[in-house]
Parts: sequence; C-alpha cells; structure tokens
Amino acid sequence: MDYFLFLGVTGLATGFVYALLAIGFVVVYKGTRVLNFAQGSLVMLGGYFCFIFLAQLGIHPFIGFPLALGMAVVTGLLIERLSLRPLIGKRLLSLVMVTIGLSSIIEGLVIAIWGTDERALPKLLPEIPLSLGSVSIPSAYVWAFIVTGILISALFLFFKFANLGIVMRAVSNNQPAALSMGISVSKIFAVSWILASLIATAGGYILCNITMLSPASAVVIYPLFAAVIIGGLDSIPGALIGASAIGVIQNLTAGYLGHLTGASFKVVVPFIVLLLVLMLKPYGLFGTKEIERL
Amino acid sequence: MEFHPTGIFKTDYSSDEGLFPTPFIATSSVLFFLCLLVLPLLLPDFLIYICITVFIAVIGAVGLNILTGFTGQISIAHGAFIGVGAYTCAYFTQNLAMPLWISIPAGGMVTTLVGLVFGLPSIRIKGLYLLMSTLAGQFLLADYLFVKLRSVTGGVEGFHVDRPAFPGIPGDPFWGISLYDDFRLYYLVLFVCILAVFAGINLGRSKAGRAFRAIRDRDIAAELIGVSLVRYKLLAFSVSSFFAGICGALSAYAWKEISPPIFGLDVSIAYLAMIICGGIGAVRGAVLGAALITLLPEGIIYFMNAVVIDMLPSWYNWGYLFSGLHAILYGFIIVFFLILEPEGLNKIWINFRNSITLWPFPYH
Repeated sequence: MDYFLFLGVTGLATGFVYALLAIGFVVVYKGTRVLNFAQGSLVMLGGYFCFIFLAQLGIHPFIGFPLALGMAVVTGLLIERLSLRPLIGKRLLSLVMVTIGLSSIIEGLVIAIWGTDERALPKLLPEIPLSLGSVSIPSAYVWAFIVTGILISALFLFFKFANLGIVMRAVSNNQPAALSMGISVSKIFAVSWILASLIATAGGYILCNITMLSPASAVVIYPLFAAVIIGGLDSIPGALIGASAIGVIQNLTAGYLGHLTGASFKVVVPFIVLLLVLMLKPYGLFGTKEIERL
Repeated sequence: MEFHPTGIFKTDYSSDEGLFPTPFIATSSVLFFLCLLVLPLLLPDFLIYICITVFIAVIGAVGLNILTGFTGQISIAHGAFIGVGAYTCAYFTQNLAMPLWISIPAGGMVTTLVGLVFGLPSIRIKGLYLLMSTLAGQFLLADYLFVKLRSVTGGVEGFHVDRPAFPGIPGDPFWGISLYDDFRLYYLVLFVCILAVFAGINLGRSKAGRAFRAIRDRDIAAELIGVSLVRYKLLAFSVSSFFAGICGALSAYAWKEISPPIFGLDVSIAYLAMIICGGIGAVRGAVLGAALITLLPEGIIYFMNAVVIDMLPSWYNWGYLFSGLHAILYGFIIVFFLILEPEGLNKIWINFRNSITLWPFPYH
C-alpha cells in the first residue's frame, strides 16, 4: 500500500508538471484551433530564456524572470505574426506542419546558440518540505503544483469573466460571427500565442528545476498530447485531469509492470491510453463534440 | 515532333485521362528515364548513393501522398511503417535466407497488415484525432516494439543486413549480378521507384483514386453518393503502407545497418514535409518534394562545410551554428513552402512550364 501511495503521489506530482505544460496547448487550441506541436520547443526555449538572464547574466530573479517573460512575449508575437497569420483558414495539415517547422527552427537556433550540452539553472525557488504519509515530495514538484494551481484558476477565471477571455472564447466558437461582432480575430490569435509562450516559459523554468536543460527537453511534449486529447483539447480542467491521469498511470505501470516491459514502456504508456480513449470516446473525456453539417 | 499545346484542346475523355497528355511529354519522359539509366556511369560513388536515397524517399513519399494527399488522412506514422518494412525484409534476408524477390514483397505485405491495423481508428475519428492516433502508432512501433522485440529487430544495437545477390540468396550470386555495390543497387531501386511512381499515378486515375479524392474533399458527401468510407480509408492506409514497406525494404539494403532511431518521428515528419513542399495530392509533387527534402539541407550544409567555413572569421566557434543549421534550414523550407507556395514545387514547375510554352506571351 505504501508503494502504491508512493507511486500515486509522485505520479500526481509529475502529472501537475505535465498539466502546467499542457495548458499552453489548450490556450492555443481554444483561441486559434491550432494544435501546437511547437509547444515543447517553446518550453525548451523558455528554459533557455531563463538560463540567459538567471545563469549567464546572473541578474536578480525579480528582474531576470520578468525579462525572460518579456522575451517570451516577443517570441509568441513573432511566431504568430510571421508564420501563423498567413495561414489563417488553411487546412489542418498546413497548420500542423507549420508548427512542426517552427519547432525545428527553434531547436536549430537553440543548438546554434547554446549547443547540445546539458545546462543547469540556478535553483532559486525556496525549498518547501512536504510529505504525504511516508512519501516526501521534492520541492520542485510542490512548486509545479502551486504554479499550475494558480495558472489554472487564473485562466479559468480569465476565460469565464475577463472581457478578453470571453472574446477569445467567442473567436474559438465561431470566427465569422466574432468578426461580424467587431472583434479583431487577428489580435486574439496574437494574444493566444503570447499567452502560450508565457505559460511555456513558466513551465520551462519549473521543468528545469526538475531536470537538466538541453535542446532535447522539447520531447517533453509527447506525453502531453495524450494528456490533452484525453482531457479534450479545448478544456483547461480537462487538461489538468488528463495530465494527472497520465502522470499517475505512467508511474503505476512503470512501478508494477516495469520488470516485464522495460523502462522504455514509460514513453508509450500515454499513447496506449490515448488510443483506448480515442476508440471509446473520440472527442476525449471533456472535449466538445464536433457536429458536422453538409 | 508535336509540342506542348498552349491550352487544353481535348476532344474525348480517353485523351483527357491519358497518362501522357501529349507525345512531347511521352518523349521527354522516356528521355528522362534514359538519362537516369546512364546517370550512374557518370557519377562518383557517393553521388550514386545519394541518388539511391532520393529514389527510396520517392517511393515512400508517393505512398504517403496516396494516404495524405489523395485521401486526406494525415498519418504521422509513415516512418514507423517504413521501419516495419525494413525489419521484415532484413529478417527474411538474414534469418530466413530468402531471396530478394521474396523479402522485398514480404516487407511490403507485412507493412500493409500493420498499416491496416493502425488505420482502423480512421473509421471512427478524423482530422486532428486521427493524427494523434497515428502518432501513437509511431511511438508504439518505433520507440517500443522495434526496441523491445530484440529477437527480430536486434534492439537498439541494430540489425545488420547483407545485400543479397539478384535474384539469388545472400552470398550466392546467381546470374552473376550481385548488389554488393551501390552501382547495381541503383538499378534495382530505380526500377522499383519507377514502378511505384507509375502505380501512384495510375491509382490516382482509377475508380479508387476518385473515391479517395471524394473522401478528402468532403467525407460525408462522399458517403452519401455511395463511396464506402470504411473500405476506401482502409484501402488507402494499406496501399500507402505497402509503399512504405517497399521503401523500407529497399532502405534496409541501402543502409545495411538498421536501428530503431532511423525510423523515428523525424522520419515521419520528413515524409510529410516532402509531400507538402512538393505539392500535396500530386504524384509529381511527391517526387519533387522527396528530392528537395533529401537534397537541399544536405547540399547547403555540404556547401557550407566545403566552401563557406574557410571564409568565416576564426575567432568564433562556428561548430554550434553548423550543428543547428540542418534543423533551421529544414524548418525554414517547410514554413517557406506553406506560406509562400502552398501548392509546392509542383505548382512552381507548372508555372515554369506554362511560361515556357506560352513564350513570348506573358499571359496564361
């Protein structure tokens, strides 16, 4: 039982890190109907932004972190302006491939500037000792829990009550109708990408407190695909639930079946879950069912 | 010789659907084929090897074009399917000592079955969700099964394949034609590649091809006019996987060492990039795109390493920049085509051809 609790709690902690990174997907999908394959690269890039200011330049985190977020805003804006804006209304494959192309460019740029070495970020977050029963949880995971909680509640309130959030929902619901109500759809697209880039940078920093930073950090997005599909692509609470489920399932299978299946099974577990969910509930557990008319 | 007409002047359906619209195109196709036959006599060895890589990529791209370009079902598992073909062919050649004319089709057939299984979700889901389920297939195959089924695939250490003799068994040259060098493999790959391209073109002109396009353009409407979605989606998945399997089988012979990473997600993405940069839904586009994606980044990097690096100031360590260059270029090519020429090289080629046929008149 202790072992089960241990696996469950550490899995849940990983799940919250996943959720933090997965929210970026959901925001872009909600706003623009683009599934952002570059989210992992944005997370990685965000990590490097923090690395510039906090490690390479050694600026005080209260100045350095806002500067990194500022870089993230610029990145989000540039990506939207230069590559996504011309593709508004194009077919799904183009939208997917352009984000894949972007992630390749970002990865290449990061390698060109910093190389492929693993980097460590200074651990600036204060330690928070926390233990559940006999399981003690590393401080970085607690921070992930806190940041995810704040972000999710903030975004939830934002989409529910803030003017901009309601406008974003309107755009995602029906673009032509939103346009005819005088909403600037292109501005909303820019806002979505900036938000995603900001969330990615925050997530990148938390992630770098858990693992080392390298261009390969971008692979972190693959389990997230499973998480967001399970939760339903346009649901923020869904992303949280999907990501926690993926974290827990990954840990439990690794803990109980690891000796049978080998360590690499951890990578594919989310996808097996994904396939099962897609077969049973094609639009995820909390997603909006798409009804088509001819 | 009759030249290319300045417009469409067809008087019956058979000439409209003809494989070669004009005798000029037929003649130039034959000439192009003859050039490809003579090419390896003139090229140095490493360029022959690059040609083989391009032909193999063409086979795979034509296959993916059938699924994604004709039928509109996005698959991001093509790299893993190619891997299935490669491992099957390698197993048949190495462990079962089968001759080439059995192991290559065997690679195709096994991949067809695998593709059919991973195509099953397409009956229920489409678009983004189908993309995700094929992504799951990619990870299941390339990141898990290829690594885990050590007895068949050799695991992460890889699998060594001896190039067989044609058409005998490995190490037993029959007819005296062995494929041990790239020069001979070139002709085998060229032959299969031309078969694949013709099969791709003809499939597009057939009843199945029209059904595929109907599904791509509006699946619900296609179902209403009597196109069986289940049948044709699965057909598209299996035909496309067959091409992927053949592509994989030939690549097993070409690379000689195969291991799971060379069939990873980036390969699937590269094939999608090929059909996008070439022009989606056109076989000519798949051919051009395969050549572009295989050659251009490598060519530019070769050029940079051979020429530009000596001209750069030495105070800066350019190594990082060069190692990131491939990914940057690759991403730029994809984004460039998507934004500036969404119909790809095929459209550029058609525009170029039109401007020549209409010369000196600027309008078309």
